[in-house]
Amino acid sequence: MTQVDPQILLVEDDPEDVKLTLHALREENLANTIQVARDGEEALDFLFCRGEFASRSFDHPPRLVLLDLKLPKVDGLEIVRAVKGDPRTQAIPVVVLTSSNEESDLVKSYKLGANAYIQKPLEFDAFRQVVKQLGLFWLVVNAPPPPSTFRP
Amino acid sequence: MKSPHETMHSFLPKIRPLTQGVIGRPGIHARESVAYILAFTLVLVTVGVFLRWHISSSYQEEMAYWRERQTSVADNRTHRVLDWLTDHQADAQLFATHPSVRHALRAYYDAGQLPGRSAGALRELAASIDEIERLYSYTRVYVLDRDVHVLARSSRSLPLSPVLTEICRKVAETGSSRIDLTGKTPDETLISIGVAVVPEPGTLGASPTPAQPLGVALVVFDAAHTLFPLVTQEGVPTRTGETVLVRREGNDIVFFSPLRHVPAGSQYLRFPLPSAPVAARLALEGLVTFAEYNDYRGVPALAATRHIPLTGWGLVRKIDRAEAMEDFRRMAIGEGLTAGFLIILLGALLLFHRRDLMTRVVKKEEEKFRALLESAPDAIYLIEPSTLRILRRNRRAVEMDGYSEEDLARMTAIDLYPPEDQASLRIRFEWGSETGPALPIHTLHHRRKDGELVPVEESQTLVDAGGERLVLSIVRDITDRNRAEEEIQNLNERLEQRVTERTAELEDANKELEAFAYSVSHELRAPLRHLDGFSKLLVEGHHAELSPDALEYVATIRRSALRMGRLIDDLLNVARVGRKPLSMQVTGLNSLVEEVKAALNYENADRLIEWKVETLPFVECDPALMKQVFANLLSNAVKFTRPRKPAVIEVGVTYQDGARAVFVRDNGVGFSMKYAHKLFGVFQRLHRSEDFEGTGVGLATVERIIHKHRGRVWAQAELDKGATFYFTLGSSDEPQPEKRADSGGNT
Repeated sequence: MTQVDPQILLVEDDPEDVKLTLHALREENLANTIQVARDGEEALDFLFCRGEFASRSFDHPPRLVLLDLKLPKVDGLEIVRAVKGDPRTQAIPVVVLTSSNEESDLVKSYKLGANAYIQKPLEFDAFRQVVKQLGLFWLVVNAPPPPSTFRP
Repeated sequence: MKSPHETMHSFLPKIRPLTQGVIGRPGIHARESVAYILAFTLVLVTVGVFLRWHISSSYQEEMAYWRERQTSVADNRTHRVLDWLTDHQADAQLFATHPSVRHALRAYYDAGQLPGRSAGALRELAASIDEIERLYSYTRVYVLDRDVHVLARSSRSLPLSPVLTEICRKVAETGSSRIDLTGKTPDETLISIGVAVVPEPGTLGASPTPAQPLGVALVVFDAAHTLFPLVTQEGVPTRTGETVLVRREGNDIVFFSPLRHVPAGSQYLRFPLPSAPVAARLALEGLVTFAEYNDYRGVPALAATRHIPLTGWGLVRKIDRAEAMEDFRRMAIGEGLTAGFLIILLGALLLFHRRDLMTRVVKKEEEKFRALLESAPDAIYLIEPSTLRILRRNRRAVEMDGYSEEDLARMTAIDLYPPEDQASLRIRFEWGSETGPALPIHTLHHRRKDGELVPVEESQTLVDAGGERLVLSIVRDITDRNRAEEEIQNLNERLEQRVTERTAELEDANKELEAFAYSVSHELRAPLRHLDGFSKLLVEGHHAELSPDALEYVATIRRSALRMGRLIDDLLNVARVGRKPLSMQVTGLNSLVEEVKAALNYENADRLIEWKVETLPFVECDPALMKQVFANLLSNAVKFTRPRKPAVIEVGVTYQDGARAVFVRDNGVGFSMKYAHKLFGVFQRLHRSEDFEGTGVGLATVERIIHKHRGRVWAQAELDKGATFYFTLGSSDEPQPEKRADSGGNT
């Protein structure tokens, strides 16, 4: 499963959301580069190459993290803090993709260094459009940070 | 470092300039004194004038009395003398016509003036002379011939003195009788009356010329036993009253009658004319006067002057002024003394009355002062500044400090304080000599006799109490106040605690609410998203397998999910409006309206909408929320005018009850005012959703926002005739309308 380093880390506890998100990404042929983490702890293990993902290397970070905020075990904002607070991971683009548009969530996310904040649209068409654009932008349009960025 | 004493010095102002003392009223004394002096002076002057008038008139009366009396006595004595002289002159005249005299003289001349040849007739004459002398009480009797040779004389008579001879010669020469006086002392004064002896009428006899007398008859009286008693006899006895006779002798004036104040047997008093007593001179000049003159002793006397005819003598009736005026003087002195006594009595009465009055005034003042002192709600001490002895204190002070009078006698004001405070307080009780405003109020403790400490507030003043410097110390027991303050403090603390508790509770509730809203926003949307997502996937992936009915059902599921999503969003928005604090800034309402209008125009490009937006004010508000207000009101207006072509939407300003209100008016379908009360309730809708979509949360949000701005929102509408929504914004956006001011000025 880990022969190819995944380009997108999707952190999402809701299986239905995972299905819908993957469905949308699949339409753009991006689904096979996705690693899904079902809770905060798993996401952190993956990002910081520990536990189950101890064999991973910081030299191959994901190109994009799609992060839900309400997560079991470790909260989404904690993950933003951890990623953006560590020089080995702080260059990884983190896009918050969540149900809520609570102002406090927006403020905290940006203050902790999130790169974008998107409320999941209710209509599936709109949701699909958003996910597609995200994938295209971050994986195709956007120039990724060079490997030296991840060295302390 | 400054010592505590120096520091205190700099805080405590030493006494400043004078303030009038509270005790005593100097005005009353001066005013009453003037009144008393005036009254006294008036009485004094009145009595003085009356006394002077009375004494003066009494003097006049007394003088009139003495004029009357002296004049009448003078007249009486003058008449007596004159009568006596006239009588005795007549007697002498009779003697001169006595037959023996004439006979003897004729015989003498017939005998050729030789006494020897007429001795018989002369002997006969001598015998009758003795007889006549005895009969008339003459001292001596002489008969002389016309050449003044003595022809006969009584047997007691001495030879004729040259003075008497000279008198007789004058009588013989003139033929008229003559009265004269000889002597050296009043006792031996002789009065001589010389009378010419003329022949019997019708007989020429031996007389050579008819005019020439035959001789002279001379009778001599002893004045001391004859005339003088008539003069010196005093009718009403007096001590100094007397009548004196005077006559000229050459250039001298001689007092020849016996004088009361000269010893008997003395020689005549004799004064040279210029220095003679005035009364005597005036009498001799023939003036009838009455006045005050100095008598022969030089003593003032009241004297009446008379002139005695026949003789050229003067008569002075006089009495010493001292005696004459003795009664008057006594009366005057008596009256003076009486008046003086009365005046002194009056003065004493006035003084006594004044003192009595003053005493009463002072007593009254004292009582007022005492009442003031005793009724004062604060303790008051009067302290002597030099010794700090407590001279006086009021009832409140006694209640407060608990010391007895005996205790007080052994204490100073400093001892009223606890020992540890006394050293620092001494400086407060160092007084200068100038009175001034009170020292600033000082809060400290007094120590009661029982040792208990009383919290007090006190102030001292140096006052001038009738010339005496006293320290007035006013002390307020603030035990109760402190207790009340403590209670207030406690209450405040309890209140604060309660507020804290309530706030905490509210904060908890708020947090719960927030958490709830947060959860709602996260958790409730996900299932809806899934409903829509999977419905969509069903339609896309299994379109062929679904009947048209099934497709329709799936479409309905999707609509409901979306609708539920909007409801949740709107509800969350309402909740958020309530929670969020306002961030106020001055905002032009027109700019908000323009933004909303642009968005609505974009969304409703197919609609014909006529906008009438007036100039709106700049107000202090939360612009984001205010934009929501316009967004809701304007989108409603657009929504409910959908049947209208064109739709007319107005935004403007109006004044309602003096408050400025912004309104949004449309010509839409309106609503019945019957339901106006439901307008702003959450989920309340007045239209069916198939006619006009909506959640029924928009106006509830508007109301929340307006209320947060302390404003008011209401609506006016009529079914099918459009609706108008008004709102006001608190008090902060209230310049008074200019129109009102103008109309006010015109009427």
